[in-house]
Amino acid sequence: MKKKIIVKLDKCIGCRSCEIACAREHSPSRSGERITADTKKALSRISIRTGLANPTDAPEMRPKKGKPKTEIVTGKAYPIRCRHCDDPKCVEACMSGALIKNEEGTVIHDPDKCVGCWMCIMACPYGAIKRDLDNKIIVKCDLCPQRDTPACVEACKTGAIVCILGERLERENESIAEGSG
Amino acid sequence: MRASQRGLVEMNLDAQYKYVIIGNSAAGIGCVEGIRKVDKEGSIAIISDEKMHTYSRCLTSYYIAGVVDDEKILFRPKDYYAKKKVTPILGRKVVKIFPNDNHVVLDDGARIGYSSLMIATGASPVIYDIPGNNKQGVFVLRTYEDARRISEAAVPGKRAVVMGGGLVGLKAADALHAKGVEVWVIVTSPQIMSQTMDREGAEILRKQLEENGIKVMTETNVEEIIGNKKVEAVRLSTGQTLTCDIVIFAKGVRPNIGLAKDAGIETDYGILVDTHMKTNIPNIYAAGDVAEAKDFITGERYIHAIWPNAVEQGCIAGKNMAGCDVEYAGGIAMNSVDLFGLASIAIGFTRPRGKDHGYEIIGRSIPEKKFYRKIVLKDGVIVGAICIGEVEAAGVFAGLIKRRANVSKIKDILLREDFDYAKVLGEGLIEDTSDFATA
Repeated sequence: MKKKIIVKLDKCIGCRSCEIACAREHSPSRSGERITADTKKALSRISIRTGLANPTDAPEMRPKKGKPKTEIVTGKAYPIRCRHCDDPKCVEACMSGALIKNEEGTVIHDPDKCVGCWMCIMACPYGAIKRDLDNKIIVKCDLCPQRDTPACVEACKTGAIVCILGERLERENESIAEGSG
Repeated sequence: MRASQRGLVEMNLDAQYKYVIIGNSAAGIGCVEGIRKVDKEGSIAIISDEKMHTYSRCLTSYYIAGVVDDEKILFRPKDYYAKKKVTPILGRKVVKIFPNDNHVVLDDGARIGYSSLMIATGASPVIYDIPGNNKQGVFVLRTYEDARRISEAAVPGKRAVVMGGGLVGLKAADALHAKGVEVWVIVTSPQIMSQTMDREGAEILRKQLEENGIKVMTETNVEEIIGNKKVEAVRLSTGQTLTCDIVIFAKGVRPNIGLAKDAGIETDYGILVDTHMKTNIPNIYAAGDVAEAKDFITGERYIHAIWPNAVEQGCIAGKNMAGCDVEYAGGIAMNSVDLFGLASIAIGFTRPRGKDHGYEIIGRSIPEKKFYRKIVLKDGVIVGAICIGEVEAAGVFAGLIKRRANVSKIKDILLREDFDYAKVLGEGLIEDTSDFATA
């Protein structure tokens, strides 16, 4: 079924529930136990990243050494995820044919074809593609083809991440097309 | 329709297609996809002198390393031509284009007519004129056949000299090394990747290669390939002789413009195209490594012989061939290479000559983490970026380059390891309402 995820930015409080749900959905066993046992195998395809409250404060807020384990929420939270663009730059850049835009409009990734060249990462202007360094491939949002409501949408308690489905999406697309035509 | 179309009726053509594409790689396939976005039915023929189903030249080094096989090297599925309603004419070479009569002639004498033609003939590796360059064991790496031959020669314990420290050379070196071949990379310039990477970045990558057992010699040339029939050694400009069994020329490519030139199509170094990817002949287009198209940053015509540009140009040409009016914003040099787990991405103009030309360079390096980032700015707008180690932000930089966003007020943030798209939005740098909605 055709789906589209929309983010209502002012509702996102940066709780990161979506990240956990996504990682769990994409873990081998799709169970919470597995991801705590083997976090490396369960990567979230959506990331809650934050802007900075005040850029000049930033250096003091960061640990002296290394990358903070959890991000310090200093500014507005933004869910960063694949938008399944109409004209996807990642697909254009994919030299192995691992990324394609299917007939439903979803940009899907075939891990068997991926060689970890990071060309898609170079091309995605949203930084929505992640590296799975254990397997030297990328991971990205697949809109949860096995479920009607994507896991991140289901997990979002504030209604910041919503999903438009099937016919309604087509109606909206049509009205956009009519409007612009 | 052009007046010359009349000629089609009088001529005895073996076949007639609405679209004929010469070339079966990135730009050719991009063209198919561009056409099919607009015209689902119009007949398409794709002609290539190689027999293979469309495969990825960028994967040839992975093929040598054994990471991809005959199946995985294909970048579109086996049923692709059937699904896209394309007639593949493979293993046949176009020998002449007749622009006035709208047809091409193949090496078997067949005449193929077209309404519009795409020239996506790519480029060929350059073999420099040095003694011994025709000996057995001398290779180039461009085609599947090249990769297959190198793969056969790359037996553990053999020794190889790779001439050239660009992307093809380094990826070939990496692949040979993975096969158990001892590898020297011989580079004329003072650094590797001199086309895309700056000195400091190149030094990090060189170290990465050397730590993993690949030997790199800069400011050195191979002057002679020694051996009876087979390669036995190379003589270097330093006077040194290196014993080896394999020599790979990876010193750049030259666009295949011969066909176009003979047909009277305007060429310079490559085929000259406008922002619709059209040549000086209205129904003939060119794209990819053969096409000299607009550069995004300078606005001048230039060839960025890279995969994403070829696909994009092909797609834009295809849409225009099918009757749309789509303009090419221009190409940007960009490339990504992962060497022994160290990722590096260079985008745009990364090596300006300093402030006197109006460029501002900011950078940050954390040697113990192999983290390096450099941003080149002009009038507050990013024109180039290098990311080594942490590369996730590279695409965000590419996006900022293409949007010509003024980043003056967040310059320091750009260098943070955790720089990402959220910072761009958080600082209100660009307006992004796509897929976002307010409650």
